[in-house]
Parts: sequence; structure tokens; C-alpha cells
Amino acid sequence: MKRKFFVLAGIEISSHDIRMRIAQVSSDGEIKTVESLRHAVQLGSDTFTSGKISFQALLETCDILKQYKHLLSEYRVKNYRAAATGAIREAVNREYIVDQIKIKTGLAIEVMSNAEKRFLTYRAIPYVLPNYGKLKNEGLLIVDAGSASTQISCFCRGSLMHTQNLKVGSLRIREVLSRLETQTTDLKSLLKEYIDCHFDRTEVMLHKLILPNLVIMGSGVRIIAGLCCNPKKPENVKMIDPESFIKLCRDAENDSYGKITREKGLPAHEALILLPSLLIFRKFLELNNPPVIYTPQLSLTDGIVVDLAGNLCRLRGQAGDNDALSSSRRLAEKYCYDQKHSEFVENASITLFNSLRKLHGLTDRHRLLLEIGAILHDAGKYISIKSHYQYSYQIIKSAELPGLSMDELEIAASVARYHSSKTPSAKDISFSGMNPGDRLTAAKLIAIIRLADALDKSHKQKISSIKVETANNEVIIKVDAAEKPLLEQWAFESKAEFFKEVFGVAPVMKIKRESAL
Amino acid sequence: MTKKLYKNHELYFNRELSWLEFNDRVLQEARNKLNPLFERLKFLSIVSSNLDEFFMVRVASLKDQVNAGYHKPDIAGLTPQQQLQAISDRAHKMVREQSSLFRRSLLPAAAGKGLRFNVPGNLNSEQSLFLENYFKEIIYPVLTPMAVDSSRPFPLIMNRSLNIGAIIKQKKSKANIFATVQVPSVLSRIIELPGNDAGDHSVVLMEDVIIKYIRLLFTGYEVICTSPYRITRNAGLTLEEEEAEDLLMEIEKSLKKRKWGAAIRLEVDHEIDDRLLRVLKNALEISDEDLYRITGPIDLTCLMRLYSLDGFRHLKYSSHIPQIPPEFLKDGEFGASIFETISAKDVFVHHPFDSFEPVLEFVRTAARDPDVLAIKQTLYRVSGDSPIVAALAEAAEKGKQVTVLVELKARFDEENNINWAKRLEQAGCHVIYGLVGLKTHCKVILVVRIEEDGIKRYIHLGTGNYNDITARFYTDMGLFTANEQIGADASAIFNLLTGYSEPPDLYRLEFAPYTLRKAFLALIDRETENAQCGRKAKIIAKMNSLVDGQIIEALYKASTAGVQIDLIIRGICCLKPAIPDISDNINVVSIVGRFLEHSRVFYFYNDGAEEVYLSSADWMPRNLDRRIEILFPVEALSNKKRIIDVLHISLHDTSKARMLGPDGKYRKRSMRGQKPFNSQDYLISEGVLAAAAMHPAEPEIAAATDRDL
Repeated sequence: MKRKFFVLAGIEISSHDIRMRIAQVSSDGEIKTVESLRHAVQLGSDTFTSGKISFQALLETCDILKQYKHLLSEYRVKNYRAAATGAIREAVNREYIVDQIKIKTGLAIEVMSNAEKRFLTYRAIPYVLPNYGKLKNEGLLIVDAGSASTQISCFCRGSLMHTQNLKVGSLRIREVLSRLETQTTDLKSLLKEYIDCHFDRTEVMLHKLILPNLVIMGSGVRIIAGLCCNPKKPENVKMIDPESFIKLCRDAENDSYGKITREKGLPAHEALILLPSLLIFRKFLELNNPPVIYTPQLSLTDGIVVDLAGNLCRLRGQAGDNDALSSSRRLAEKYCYDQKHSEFVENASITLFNSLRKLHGLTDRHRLLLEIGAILHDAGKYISIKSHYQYSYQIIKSAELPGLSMDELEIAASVARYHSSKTPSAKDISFSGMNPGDRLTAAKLIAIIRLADALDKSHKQKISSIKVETANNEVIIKVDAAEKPLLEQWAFESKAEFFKEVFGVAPVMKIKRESAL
Repeated sequence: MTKKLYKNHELYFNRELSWLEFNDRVLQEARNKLNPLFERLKFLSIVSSNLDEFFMVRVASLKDQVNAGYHKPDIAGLTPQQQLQAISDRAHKMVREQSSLFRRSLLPAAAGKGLRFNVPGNLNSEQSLFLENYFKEIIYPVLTPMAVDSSRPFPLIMNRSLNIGAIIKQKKSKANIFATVQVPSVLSRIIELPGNDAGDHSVVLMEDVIIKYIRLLFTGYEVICTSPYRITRNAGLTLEEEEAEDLLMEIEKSLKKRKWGAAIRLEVDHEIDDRLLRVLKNALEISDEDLYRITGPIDLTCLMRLYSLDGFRHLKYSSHIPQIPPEFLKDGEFGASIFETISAKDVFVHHPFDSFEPVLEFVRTAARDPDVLAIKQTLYRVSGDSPIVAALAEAAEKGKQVTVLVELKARFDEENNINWAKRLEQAGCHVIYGLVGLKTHCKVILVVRIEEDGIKRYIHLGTGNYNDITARFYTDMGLFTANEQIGADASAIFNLLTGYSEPPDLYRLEFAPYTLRKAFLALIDRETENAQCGRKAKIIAKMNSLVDGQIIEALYKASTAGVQIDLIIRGICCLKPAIPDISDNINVVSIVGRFLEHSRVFYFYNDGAEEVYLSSADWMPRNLDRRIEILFPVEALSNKKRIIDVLHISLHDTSKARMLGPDGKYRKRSMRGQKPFNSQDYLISEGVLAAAAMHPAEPEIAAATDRDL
């Protein structure tokens, strides 16, 4: 029997639960959930207080994962990804934990960065929110309050304007404040103050944007939607009326913990995160007073499934990379970058990258990292002209670029770090700390950006076109220039050395001067 | 105000007394001369086994409550102490009627049909000789007489065992000694004797034989008096899910006071010697209200054995052959694939009128089908040598993923359950024992199959257990479907049961203890609202027991609003019908007949868009709050129509149906000179006719068809 579909699965081990989604994807790209599971495990309370995952919690996790594996074999699923986020990512003993999970269950767990998690999750949004494109065009604020952190993303005219991660999560608040909670009877004021002090700057930033639509996501959303929406049915997206949301807020503020558990029928660990989640969301609800709150019922597992499906067949409505680039540009703007120079270096880098494919053998994903490095390579000048590349590196490293893994971010940051005078060396801990494959990739990209940057050394964009010829083990870069690019030529020659070191070929620059009319 | 209105104790029956009324209806079937003789004996035996369970669980629980100092009155306003007193009064009356019926009516009737109950003193010489040999060779070796004296304490008397107590004394001594011997349970209590010349069957009871030869057990002693006796103990098993939460806490607090395994009933022969009775009452701490003096044999459960005696077929119900629904058949056999049938349309089955075979075939086909990935099933009570268990084991051996959710705590069945659970595990099934504190009572089979264009799920949902034996005499309903949403729900429920996942939101099913109670209340309230708006509103519900206070309140409210409510409740009903302005629109009937009414069906008029649901749950707190139960919709028009028909047929029964009055008594409806209508018999004949219509090979029908052509 020829089957016209694939079965895929995504697993997430988050701070407060373990989830799995098994889905079938037809060859025309339709995704249908076959199984959806969720099991509460309080890993976060370990990490957020002691910094480590306890052995007890590990065993509990493994028991559940073994059951999930059983179900995977039931559906004969070969194609799956299992990711650990939040609590495990932040635990100091995460390597041991991941290793033990592998030994005990046979599941290879990847530790996923916050940005990658959110990016993957957001990839699934169009599947559950049919008007996602329209909302993004009109202006959309996504508040994604996880247990460990909250991600704020704003879209205007269809593209990502800004995204920011804040270490204020529903569960983290409770853990962090647990010592103080015993010293006050006014818990809600304590929570409010704590949340306010963490969100004040974001508010200022968002004020400039028009964001009439609000989507809330994250661990508390399932509980909130369950309490606000009736009847309880498994829908992909639930719409909450802001009035009932506010009413729930009031109940949660005024009622005791025990009363909430009893009357709302919530288990204790859910009641615990209800109030902080509500307070976080309310901050953003009050900003724009949207007519309705959208709550797509999504988790990382949906994102993983969509991502895996994307590798197998064409999916509809997937943009992706653009978000990382648009938010890189907005970040560069924030640091008052020299836009023309930056664009020149970006374009030159792309031209070189595309022309030298046979030489470097890298993928489009790597080109994205190069582009990000190029856009932000001089951003550090905002902090100090001296050693600006060092600050550019830091800016990228601490940036929130949707969809980038921690390793990818490191590569993009290295591209910026070594774009000018310094070349990578084993003495740099961050560079030598990368894994060998990434190090090589970074070196290749650095070799390219150095040439690209050299071609506009004067920041005057004298060079109007670039053509690359590769023949007979030579790389000839032919450029048109309106005026004599003397400085560029000098810089090019000095940067050519590292290129030769990496690719074994010394590039040659040939200038064809345009006659001024 | 309305809330308070329905809280009045006067509006409710006590559940224990209501249960006793149910048992009385079984007794009436034993009395009913229109029933075949052996069926009447069987009903009489059921009265006894029912009472045994009632004492072990319900009476035991009430005694626990009294011991724990729990005095909260029940919904009908009776304290545990008052309930015990009322139960004792009613049960004594029932037992008197039962034994009198046996002696005065059934024994003579049996003798008239060639079955004689004899006593050892009244036999011919051949029979006496046989009996003497039987005692010496068969009975004597397994007897263990025990005496009580200063060095030997009162022995542990097994729950529900029949014993013979005796007062003996040494020939030269004056001291009386109490001795006891158990009537061995490994041997049949009914001993068949060689017949007389007329070819009649003749039986004696083993206790009479032992008493006759009792001197042989106590050589060197003088036997002063003997008498059979039997005790029932607190089973202490299933209390948790039966009772209210505050009660559980109360009992937990005084756990030490709880008398595990205490004797709660003593049955003795009415002519028992006073000295002997005194010993027993003291040793077992039995008060007068728990003492039952019985004229005639103690423990009539033994009559069930008679039923299997050869040669009395004419004194039983005519045999009934369950039909296989025609949807499944092709040329008189199961068609190419049961999956194609189910894929094409939902198929409804109504046992025992429809055969249980399709359910077995479903599991067997799944076991052998190469495209089946997984089979998941709940098992509550299965038969001894269950073909379901065999099919599941076969599937696992063939490499299928088989998950079986076994409920070990099915009442009094633990040992049996553990045995076949082990067998499944050995075959490679993934056997799971359910969630702590929640009995898995829902009945679901899920088959996951990989097909050309995707994963497809096939589901069977039922109202009764996956037990091929009881499916022959319990009325239960089931639905086969390939509905995607129901499939997703079934998967989610299994993930919950296996502990893989937390309670999920479901598409089509409602499930206890999470959404079921709310769903029932909402369905009832919707009718109430419709009635309040002047629209037609109607509820028909069929179940085993109605106990839940919240549901009853909702029904009273609905009745007051003008909803027509018909309840078909076989057993306990705490709702009081026909109270003016409260329940005048509620009609309660109970059917006790050849088959044990067991299906749970819920019909709502819903302003013309009628809805029909089936469930594994009764309207009892234990089903709604402490068990995993499901409620599922039946949507295909033809299936819905069939179920509504069954409800109406049951409501029109004038033969085995009795109406509940506001006094708590059940009475048959007046037939106004019409022929009695027996709903179960009607459904049997209807099933046979429908099956016959599917086989044109039958001559008359073939001829008719020819003519029509």
C-alpha cells in the first residue's frame, strides 16, 4: 500500500509540563493531529530555586518520556524532535540531565534556545489562526508568557518590528517571590509591583506602535481560556472576551488560593501560575484595549511538527527568515547604524556568498547568519568606536532574533566580531569554544564579510557593482567605481590574507572606473 | 428559595430501602406462576445472592458509619442507625416470604414436575445406602470439625460459608462444648440421589447429610444438639467509591474503630437450640436485629446449581439465539472487513437481542489485520474463559501494540481479574491498572489502523462490560463508529487512563469525573428552559439506579417547569414520583424480567432536534464523581430511531414493568383487560423477524418475493 502521508512528532520538556504531539501530514501539506498529550511535571521549581534539576524530577520525566516513546512506536513514528526548554536549559546540570534522559529512554533531547522555541511555535500560528496575516498587517502584539520568561513581539504592516524576551515568567515569579510571599498578606500588590518594574521600558517602546490586535500565548493561557470560554472543547484558537478576562482577573486577585482551587476546579500547580499570568497579560490588554483576545492553543510541539513537515513538503504561508532580518534591521536602527554602509556590506556579502558557493559549500541558512552579521556589524559603534566589533558581538549575542538557535546566534555574532581588524584566533575563548563545524562555518563567513566590508572602507559606497569570476583556482572580483576606491583597494588587500587562509585562494580585485558624465 | 424547596427529606426515598424494594421485585418474579419453574428457582437464588452482597457492602458501610459516630442523615432524612433498623425490618420480612415461598409453593411445584427435595430420614434403602457411602467416601475426608474450649479460641468462620454448629459433651463430663464444622464448599451442596421407580430426580442438601452422620465426627462425645448457621462479614472492599467524601474523612479518622471483617449477619435454622444460639451470638457479637431465623434451608443461592441439572429444559425459558446485525453479514458470514462496514456507517448493537459476536469479531479482526497498529481496550469484568482476552493476547503475540486497561477492583472479582491480567501480560500486552482512586468503568475499544490516506480509528463504545457470558442475559447497547472526533476523544481518554496525559478537552464525549455531571445537568436544564418558554420538552432516561441528589433536584425542577419525564430504572430510585407540584410529570417504571436490564440510555427532546446518548454511568454519585465513565451521542438517524423505539417499547411493558408510586411501592399497571405486553419478549421476536427478513432463503419469504416480482 502506497501511503500518501507521513507521521511526525514533536516533544517538549518545559518548566512545568511535558507535551507530545503526533501528527500526520499529507503530501499536499495538510497537517492533522493524531495524538496530543500533556503531563504536568514541576521541573521549573527545581531550577528556579536551586539552579539544578533534581534526580527525583529527572526520574519522573523519564517515566513519562518512556510512555511517550511507547506511543511513538505504536504509530511507528521515526521522524520526531524532542526539545528541552525553560527549566532544563537554565539548569547548571543540563548536560547530565540530557545525557541521563538519553540513557534511560533512548530519546535524544536537544536543548532549545528561547528564540528558537518561540520561532518554531510561531510557525504553527497560521495553522490555527486563519486571519494571522491580516492581524499582522493591521498591527499585532503577541504576548507569550511562559513559565520562565515572557516574549513580547510586535508586527506592523506584516513584518516583525520588535521582539523582546523578559525574564518574568508565571512560575518564575512565584518561585522568586516565594520567600517574600510569607511576609505579606497583599500578594497581588507584590506581584503587580514586580511585574511593573520588569515591564516599564517595554511599555514605552510599544507606545509608538499601533497594535490593535492582541494574541496571548504561554503556559497560563490554556488555564485562562478554560475558565473564560465555555464549553470546554478542544479548539485550535479560543477567543476571549476582554470583559470576562478582566472579571477573571478580579476574581483571582480577590479570592484566596484555596477558593480558586476549589471553585474553579484547578489543580494546585495551575492555580499557582494563574494570577501572575493574568497580571502579565492584563498589562498589555490595557495598552490597546483590543475588542477580543486571541488565544491560539499552541505549544512548541505544534511548531516542531510544522517544522518537520516543512522539510517533507511545501507548506502554506511560511515566511520565516524575514522576521529575523526585519528585527535585525530594527535593532540596528536602535543603535543608529550607518544604514547605507550596512546595506552595502549586506549586499556585497550576499553577492560574494552566492558567487562562491562552490568554494564554501554552505547553505542558505548560513547566508542568513552572514546577513545578520552584516546588518549589525557596526552597531557596536553606538557604544564605543574603539573595539566596536566587540560591542557588535555583544549586541548580537544578547539580541532576540526569532528562530535562531544559540549556536547560530554565536556564529552571526562572530561574523560581526571579526569583520574588521581582528581575525579569529584560538586565544579567543568564545571562538575556540564553538564546536569545530560551527567554527569552520564562522571562519568562512568571516572571510566573506571582511572582503565585503573592505569594499566600502570609506563608507562612501564608491563601488556600484560587484562581479565575481572564479576560474583556474582564482577568485577575481570585478567592481565598478565612480571615483577611485583607493582606500578600498588597500583594505581589500589586507583582508585578502584571511580569505586565502580559509579558502586557499587569494582574491584579486579589479576596478573598472566609471567615467563621470 | 427553590433550592431549599427541593432539599426536603420528604421528597426522597432512602437508597437502601429502595434497593430492598428492587430485590422484592426479583422475589415477585420467583412467585410469578407464569414464569417457568426453574426460572422461578433461579430468581429465588438471585434474591439470596443479591442480599449477600447488599449486606457485605451496604449494611457493612452503615455499621461502619455508626461505629465511627457518624450520624448525618441521608437524603431521605434517616440516620445510619435508623437506616439499619429499617433495613433489618424489611429484610426480615423478605427472608420470611422467600423461605415460605420456597417451602409452600416451589417445593410442591418441583415435586409435581419430578424433582424432589428429600431429607435423609425419608429415603428408600437404595438411596440410604448411596448416601452413607457418599458421606464416608466423599464428604467425610474433607470435613474439619473444630471445638472451642479454654485452649482453643472460637475459630475463624469464613464469610458466607455454611456451617454446622453443635453442642457436645464428653460422656463422663458435665461440661458442654461448642463445636463447629464447615459444610465443604468444594463439593456441591445439592446431592443428587439415585432416582425412584418413577424416574424422578431426587436431591438432598449436604448439611442434612452431615447432621445425620455427625456422631461419626465426634466419637467419644455425646452430641446434644446441632444446627446449620451462616455468617456474613463486612467486606470492607468498595466503600471508598460508594460514600460521600465527608463520610470517608470521618471514617478515616476513626479507622481503628472500624471492624474489618466483623460479622454483620447471622442466619440460623428457626429451630436452633437456645444454648447453641447463645454461643454463636456471643462469639460473633450479633444482636437480635442482625439475626435471621430461617424456616427451611439457609442460603438459597445453592438453587442456581439446580438450574444446570439435566433434563429440565422444558421448565426453563425457551432458548434464545442472539442475532448478528445484518450490516455485518455477507452470505450469512462476517463480510470481508468489519472495518469497511464501520467505515461506511455507525452500527448499533443491542444485546442480548443482537449477538455479542460482532464485538469479538472486531477485536479478532484487529488482531489479525496487518494494517492495525494498536488495540486499546478497557476491561472491567470478563468471563472466566474470555474470548476477548484470547483475542487481545493473540494480537499482542502477533506484534500489535495492545494496551489493556484492567479494573482490578470490580467488586468481589479481584482474584479472577488478576489471573487474566497476568495472562495478558505474558502475551505481551501493555496492561495498566487505571488511575488511583478512580475505577475505570467506561467500556471502550479503540483500534488504530494505518490506511492509504492516513491514520484511522475505529471505536466501540458500550453500556455494559466486555463479557460474552453476561452479554447473553444483560440488556446492553453498543455503538461501532469510525467518527474522527470520537476517535480522537477515545485516544485522549486512553492517554488519560494510561497516565500519559492529563484530563483533556474532548470533542464529542463527556466523561466522569470531569465533565459528565455538568453535561447531564445542562441537558436536563435545557429541557427545563424549553418548557418554561412554552415549548414541548421531554426526557426519557433508562439506567440501573438513580441516587444522585443534584440530578434528582434538576429533574424536580424540570417536572415543575412542565417537562415530561419517563424514567426506566431497574434498581434503586431515590426520586419520588407523583408529588403534586414537584414531580407530577415524572413517571418511574422498573422492568425486572428474563434479561437483566442494564443499558443506560438518555433521550432529550431538545425542541424537536432530538438527542440520544448512551453511557456506562448511572445517575449515582459514584459514577459521576469517582469513576471514569463516558457519555456518547448516537447520531445516525436509523440508530437513534431504533433506540427511541426501544425506550418506547420498554415504557409500554405491562408484563414485567412496575410503576413506582409516591409510597415507594412498585405496582404493575392495570391492563384494562388487554393481553400483557412483555417488552423483552417483543424485542426477541423483533430481532428474529429482522434477521429472517435478511435471509430470503426462507421458503415463504422467497415465494412472496417471487410473487411481487
